[in-house]
Amino acid sequence: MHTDENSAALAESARVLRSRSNSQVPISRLPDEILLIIFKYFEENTRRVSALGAYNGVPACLAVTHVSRHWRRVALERPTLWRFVGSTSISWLDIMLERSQKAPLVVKYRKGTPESILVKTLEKILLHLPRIKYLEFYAMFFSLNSDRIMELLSSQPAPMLETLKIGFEEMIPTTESTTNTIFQGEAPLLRSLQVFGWGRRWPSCTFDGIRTLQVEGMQLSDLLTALQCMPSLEQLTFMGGMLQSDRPIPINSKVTLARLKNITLGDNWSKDAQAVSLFRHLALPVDVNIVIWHLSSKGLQPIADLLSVMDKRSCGSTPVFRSMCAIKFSPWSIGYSVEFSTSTTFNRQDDNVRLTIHFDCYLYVVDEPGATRADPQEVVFEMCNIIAERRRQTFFAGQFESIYLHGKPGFIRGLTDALRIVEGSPKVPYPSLRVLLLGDIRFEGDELQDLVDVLRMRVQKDVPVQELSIEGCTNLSADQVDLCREVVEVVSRI
Amino acid sequence: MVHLVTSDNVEFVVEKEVVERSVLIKNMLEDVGESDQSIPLANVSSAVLRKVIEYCEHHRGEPLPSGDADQNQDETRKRTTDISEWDQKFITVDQEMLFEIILAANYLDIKSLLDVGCKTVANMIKGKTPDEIRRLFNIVNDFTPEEEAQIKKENEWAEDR
Repeated sequence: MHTDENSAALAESARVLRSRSNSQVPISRLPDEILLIIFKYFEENTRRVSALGAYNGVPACLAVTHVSRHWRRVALERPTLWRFVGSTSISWLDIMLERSQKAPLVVKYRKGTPESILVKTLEKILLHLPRIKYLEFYAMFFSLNSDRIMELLSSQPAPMLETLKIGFEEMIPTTESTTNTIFQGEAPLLRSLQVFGWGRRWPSCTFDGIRTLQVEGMQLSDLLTALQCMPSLEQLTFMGGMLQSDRPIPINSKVTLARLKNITLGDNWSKDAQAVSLFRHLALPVDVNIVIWHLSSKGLQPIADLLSVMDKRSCGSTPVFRSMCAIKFSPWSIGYSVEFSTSTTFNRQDDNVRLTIHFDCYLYVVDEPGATRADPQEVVFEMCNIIAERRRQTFFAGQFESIYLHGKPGFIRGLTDALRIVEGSPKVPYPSLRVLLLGDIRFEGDELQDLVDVLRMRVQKDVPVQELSIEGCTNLSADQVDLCREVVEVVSRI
Repeated sequence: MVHLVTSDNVEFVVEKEVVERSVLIKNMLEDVGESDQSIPLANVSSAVLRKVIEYCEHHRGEPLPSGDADQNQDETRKRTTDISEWDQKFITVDQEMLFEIILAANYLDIKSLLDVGCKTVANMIKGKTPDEIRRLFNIVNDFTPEEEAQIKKENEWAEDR
């Protein structure tokens, strides 16, 4: 036997001994199925950490395949460990697609992936379209590549696809080509769709099972056409940035979203007059929850305009708001929200808050020329007036029985002004109001005395507040609390 | 009360509600009905069973994982490597004991304990290089030269990124 062969044989013997030695260590007592559970948790953990910013395209499970022959074999035999695809390295991509065998794929490419690489990787990945369960990618430029991407998306059916998120950074007007052929019209499990800068007309039937839709950068006419084909839609998020439409929309045409549970408007919507047009053409269920994010420097007119076009049900019934809640956000986010509920109590878990309006007051907004920083006391109660007074005789008909204010100072002065009955005026603000809940508010100066004066006036006009809670409120003396008891039947302070 | 006898012939008397966190024992009790007879646990030592009972005592009354979870563990197993504070303290044991607890949880079919054990091992290897993992578990490199070459190539791809 030659020396080389001898040393190879010796090396192999040594390796076999090392394998035997591995089989004696405590962790080797764990059967393969348990080792797999450990790998699965390891993979999840590594991927979760990567998602926070350290993602480098390397398979999350790579380390365990480099430990020993046994570990490598166990990891390679489990396709589901390799189904999370997001690498821009073609070598890794090939490995992942091979090792994942027939497992449903989760494909996720983040914003910022260079488009040439993205197209190259999509060329490979979309060959596996029939087993893709989740697909997310963002193209930097809407160039000629978009046609190629569309071709790829139309090359095969997507029978396992549940979630699709596609974005194009550079919006262009709708092209004449349609997306009727996307997934060859077959994506029966698709339930969640998020698109921005789509720039395509929407297919009539491919998306008819959608439950959740988030859109940005579309033509209104295209969006309405798409919504008409989504009878099961439950959640609609509109981020604004609507493209100017080149096609007229019949004024009286309505899209009925009978199953809609929630509709959210992101904080860009008020820059865009077409948001109001969108609502003009939507027939919403009477119990839909509406969340509106709003930059307060825009004033309240956009919200008033928006509410004015919201539809009543055909029978004419409208929801009655029984309570209003204003919450000051934490100090690090400069903003506050006003929520209107059909119940007299607030429990967000019960999903009973029908209308939530979040006001954001970013510092950069204050710096804009002509912008003024809106004060909660003004905005919150002006908002209430829009709703309570049924301004423009539209969707809302609120007569509050309960008002709940929570947070830092700012609200009390506005509340006092809002509840004040002007001497000689026949108008009584908030005539149904009976319960006032104030939480974690620090009273300043004469705020409490002023509030008590207003509450006394309401007693005299026979519209008393019957219950006042000042839980967690500070800078109040026992005498001041007693003062409240003179004008309110039940005063609680825990 | 239920009588359990371990591999080293130690008898434990445990409340039914506690011991029924083990699906294996729960099914046994349902099959044989009320009985004073001891249940032999040939794969579990007394030291390990003591720990398992401590775990079951602490988690008594909590809902057991549903039957659906058995059908598709990959999809339904709780997707987090977080472990509660109590569980973390409980599972802070030497490697020998950790693996014995995992094996006992698997044998006795106590899914939540099995998960705690597996998550703990996953957390132990988190962020470590293959070399560090080997040192942690006294594993030695037993790859063939061909496999070594493939691993080298994979490492180069990883560095190229």
